[in-house]
Order: sequence, then structure tokens, then C-alpha cells
Amino acid sequence: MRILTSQFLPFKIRTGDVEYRPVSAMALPEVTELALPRADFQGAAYQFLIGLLQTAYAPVDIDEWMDRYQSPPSPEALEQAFEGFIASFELEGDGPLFMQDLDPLDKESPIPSSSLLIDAPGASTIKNNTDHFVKAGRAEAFCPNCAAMALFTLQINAPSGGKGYRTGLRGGGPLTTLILPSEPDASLWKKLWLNVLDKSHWPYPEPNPKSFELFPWMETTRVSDKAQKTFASDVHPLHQFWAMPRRFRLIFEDHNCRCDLCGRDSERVCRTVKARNYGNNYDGPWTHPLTPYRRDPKKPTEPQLSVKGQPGGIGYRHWEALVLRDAEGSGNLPAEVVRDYARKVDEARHDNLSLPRQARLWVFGYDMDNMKPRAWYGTQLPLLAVPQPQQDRLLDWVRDLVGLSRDTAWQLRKQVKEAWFSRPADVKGDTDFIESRFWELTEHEFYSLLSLLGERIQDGTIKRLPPDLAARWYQHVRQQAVAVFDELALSAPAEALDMKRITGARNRFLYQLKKGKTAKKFRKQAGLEDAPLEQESA
Amino acid sequence: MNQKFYYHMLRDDHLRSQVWNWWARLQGQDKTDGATASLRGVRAELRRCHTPDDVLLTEGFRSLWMAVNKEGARPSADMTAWATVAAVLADVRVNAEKPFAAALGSENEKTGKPHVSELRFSQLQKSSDSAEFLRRARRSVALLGRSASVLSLADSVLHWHKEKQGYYPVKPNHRLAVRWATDYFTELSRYQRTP
Repeated sequence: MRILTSQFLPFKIRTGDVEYRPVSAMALPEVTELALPRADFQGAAYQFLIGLLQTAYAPVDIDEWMDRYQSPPSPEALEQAFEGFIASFELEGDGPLFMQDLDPLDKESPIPSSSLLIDAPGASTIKNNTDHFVKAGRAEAFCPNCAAMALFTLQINAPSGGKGYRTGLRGGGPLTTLILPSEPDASLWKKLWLNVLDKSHWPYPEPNPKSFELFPWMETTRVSDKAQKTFASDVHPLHQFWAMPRRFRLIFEDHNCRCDLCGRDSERVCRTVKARNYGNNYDGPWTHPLTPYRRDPKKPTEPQLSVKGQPGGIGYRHWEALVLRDAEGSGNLPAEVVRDYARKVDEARHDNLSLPRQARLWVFGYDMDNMKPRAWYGTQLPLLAVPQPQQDRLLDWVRDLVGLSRDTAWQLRKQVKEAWFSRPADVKGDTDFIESRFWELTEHEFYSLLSLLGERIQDGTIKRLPPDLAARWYQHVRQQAVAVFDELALSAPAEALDMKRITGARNRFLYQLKKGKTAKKFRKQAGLEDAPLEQESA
Repeated sequence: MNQKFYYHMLRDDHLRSQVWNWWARLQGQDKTDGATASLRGVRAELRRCHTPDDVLLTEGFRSLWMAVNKEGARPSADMTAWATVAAVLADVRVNAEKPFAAALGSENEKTGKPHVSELRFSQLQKSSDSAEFLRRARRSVALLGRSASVLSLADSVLHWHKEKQGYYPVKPNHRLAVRWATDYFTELSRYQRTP
């Protein structure tokens, strides 16, 4: 199968239908979305198309970027741009194959194709019959489209997979952040193009589709059996979109069957693959334009690390780290594409192209515990593109808001545990859900305030967090925190409760919400110190 | 100290003043009536009742019920609750500032302990029926030296009956057990140090 010319991807059309079409259909005005059968494939397909555009159709400068944003290219124009790359995107055959090892791996014995799926159990799990939550045997037959997508998804997310099975270029289970337009029915082209960088801003030499520097499958793999490493200086910058840490060969047979992933009938099927360890051993520092990184400010010599999915999911408490750069303080380095959006908005303004300051940020990725996936997270956050000179001020404001809720969440969990248990310090078990509930309840108000802060920050004379908004936030946080406490600590029948213990914890909690260090500081800032709330502590 | 009152059942100003006037008359504080002596008798009659059912037949209950049920809209199922209010309030001699539950937890100067022990306090809440509740509430009023907040006490008695009938407030912190415990244990924590 020739990936770039076949009916490779399922596109959602404005009528609501899903149609498999060639990648050149991505810029058609009636195409609004991709419709892959799995969430991780969906994220991977976006990255595939963005990588393809950045490699084969990158704009020279911001002007060309804006032109193409306003008037999308025709399928023919894209086909022409991809022309030189068709031979590098073969799925089957004798030559170099997309995301597969140049060596046919004849000595290896075939293993089930489900090993391409990150959430499928490994061989030892199946052998020991310990697949309690991740079930074996759910997907055995893959159509060529799904096989290619599964392979690509694994290569860009690869976790460590045992001895010599290398992790992806961005580490195992990296987060990806993509810019989306704020209107959900925007064309797919806008959703993709917002994530492409122009070459005057990100200069690199012309990519050669036949070289290992760009596409690692075009030449013999740089074997890493003696821990040889592949650094950024060894490859082309665009290699980051096409990195290949694992060595695989897909085995296709002629056989009529139904694909276990997308449910379509297929005449070609992939049931087994061959795999070998010691593939490309990527070693840092890398700066993938779609992934946020973090640097430890205390260890300036250490390379930056990609941000990974973490238990508890992605919420507004991560907003600052994903959107606002703070290299010296906290070491947060948002994805280049996020930083670039603010620049695009400013540039567009000069040219009377309206690119809204408020867009959406789609954050997704696996939460991996080494090779075990704990969860897949995918969420959309509001994105606020604030001009560069005002970003530091916004960072301070956001930090004040989140600081209050962070401290409150911590107190909440502490006091709920004191209300529940006579010796809370000895209690084992996961109590994250207490905080999660609070974060969820305050999320909406945070983003409403954020949008207001975005308007206020345009006025350069306001230095500190505006007191009226701070007061609103304080009241909301307090109210929600107490509501969660009451719900968790007081909902059981009164006979079953130790009301003395609960009352003690509740009073301590109320005290902390008002007189605790963080709360006190925040209240002072919000001008709440003399407010009528005082009366409550009679 | 000026403590904030949260009324659950007696939220209406007019209803509160009806209850207050009834109690004041019963204590002979309202001289305009001119019938002080006979009301003393009414109070004695109330105090002789053992159960809320006995109370239903008294002159004292009748006047309270007439006062709070002028429109006749109150369901007869509420009569037991109001009968208990009448009987308990008849035991109160002096109105106090503190909410009823807070007063139960307040320090007895002589002993350094709460006026009503934690055990007795929790038994009062867990009473199985109105008769038991009445007996324990009277005992609590006695332990307070027959000084209690009239309106808070009446509100509490009504609230207890409401929940006994199965009507629980949606917000957990509006439940009687939580309200009472917050008042009682907050008061307790003012002087008692828990190890």
C-alpha cells in the first residue's frame, strides 16, 4: 500500500459521513475532522498529517503561512507537494517500508500483531494469565490502514519495552499539545495548519526523503546493542516527527477478513509482526515542536525532559506549564507550537487577518508506568494567546489563582482524612479523588476568570491581580471546597459518623480557608481582609 | 458574644414571633393578657404530660397550634412535633442567648465538663420516637438549669421531627445532626483539650 496515494485516512465530512480518502483530501473545505477508530490513533493521525505538512509543504515565512491559512491548497497542490515523498511511504514491498526496519528480520519468529498496541498485554502477561484489566485477544486481525496507524502510534509513543526495546524520541508516553480553533466546526485544514511552523521562524536545511537523517527507515537502522546513541546532531530536525525507536516488520497475507480495529472488511490482513530489539537509541536534548518540556532550574546542566501524562489527568492546574514559558523560575517550556501561536496572532493583526486570542489547546497522551499504560488522557483547555510582553504578568496572576486552589486542595484532602479516620497519618490507599473532585468543581470558574484576565491584561497599568476577580475566585474556591468536604465527610447516616472528630476537622478546615498562610495572603491581595466574613469566627 | 442563628424550620419572622409570644404568655411575662393565673395552670398541665399524645389534649397546646396554624394549612401530621415543642418550652424558665446545641456543649463552671455529656447528647439525637425525644429533651433543659434559647430549641425540636418523618435536607451541612454537632463540639473545643 502506498500511504500517500491510497485511501489512507477516515475523514469526517460536514454531512456527518466518514469516508476513507487520500491524505490530499485534508484541505477540502467539507472535511471537518479525522475519525480514527481509537483515541490514540486519532492523536497519531493528527501528528502524521502535521508532520507531513511540515516536511513536504512548510511555509517559507509567516506571510505564506497566513495565505495558506486563509485559502487552503487544492488536493492537486498537495499531491504535487507530496510527489517526491511517495516512495518513502510504502507499507509493503521489497524496498524501504514506512516505520519498518530495512532488515526483513527473517530470524525472528512472528508475534501477534496486537503487540503494536500500547494497551495490549505483553507475552509474559498472557503466559502468566495476569491480564485482568488489559485483555488479550481483543484485536488480532488488522487491515493495512490500521496496521500502519498502530505502528506509527507505537513509534511516536514507545515506552520502554524490555531489554533493548527503546523508548520514543520524546520518552515513553509524552504529552502532545495541539492548537485548535475555538469554533468546533472549523475545517480540518485550520486545525492542522495552526500547528505548522514557518521556516523563517524554524529554519532547517531542505529535507531529503531518501536519507536516514529524515526518515530512519530509508537506511539500515543504527543498531544500539552496545548502547550507541542517536543525538539531534546526527539527524535532520524534522526527524523528530518520524523517529523510529522500535524495529518491526509487518507481515501481510491475502485473506478476506474484518479488521478488529475499524470493523471494515479487508482483503489484506496483518495478523503477525516481527520485532527485534536494539533499534535507534535516541538521547536528548530534543525539542519536538508539539510537546511541552520541563527543565530542572536547579540542575541547569541536565537536558530538558518532555512532560508526561500523570495520574489525576490534565486540568487547569497544568495550564500555566502548558502555555506560559518560564525557563528560569519553574523551568516550564511549553511546546514550540503553543509559543508560536501568540506570535502568529500578533503578526496576523498587522495584516488584518483575525486570528482569535482565544483558541483551544488539545492535550493528549498516555500515562505510562514504564511499559504499563495506566490511562489515556485527552482533554481540551482554553488557550489564551497573550502578547509576549504581557506573558510574565499573566503568569504571576495565574500562579496566584492556582496557588490558592492548590493549597485549598491539599487542606481539603488532609481534613477529610482527619474527619474519616482516627489516625489519618497511618491510612494507606489512594485518596487523590478528594482533590480531583475539587479541581473539577473549580475548573469552569477558573477559565471564566482567565478569559476576563486576558481582557484586563491588555491594560498595561494594572500590575497586580485585579482585586475584584481575586475576590470572586476566593469565594468560589472556598464555597466549593466546603461543599466537597461536607459531601464527603457528612453524607453517611448521622448514627455512623463520629461527629466530634468531623466537627473538629471541619472547624480546622474553615480556619485554614480563612487564616491559613496562603489564604491570608490571597485575601489581603483581594482586599477581603476587612470583609464581613470576619463575623463568622465568633 | 453574639452568635449567629441558623433557623431551619422557623425561617419565617412571623412564625417566630408567634412562638415567642406563646412562650412569653406561658411564663406570665406578657401582662396585657390579664389571665396570668390561669396560664400558670396551663403550664403546669403541660408539665404533667408524659408523652406528646398527652399534650395534644391540653389547653396550652391548643393555643400554640391555633397561633402557628392560623390558615389551617399545616398538616395534622405536624401536630406531634408542635406538641413536643409545647411540652419542652413549658420547661424553659429563662431565655438564653446561645443556640440550644451550643448550650448543651458549653462548660459547666462547677465541673469543668459540658452541661450535657457527649453520650447523653448523642442519645437525644438518636431517640427512637417522639416520646423518648421529649423525655430526653426535658432532661437536657433541666441540666441547663431551665435556661435555653426558646426559638433555637423550638427550631431544633421541629427539625428533629421533620427528619424523623424522612425529609432530609439535600445539603449534608443542613442536617440536624451536623448542625447540632457543629454547635456542640465547637463549644466543647473552646475549653476541652483533646489529647
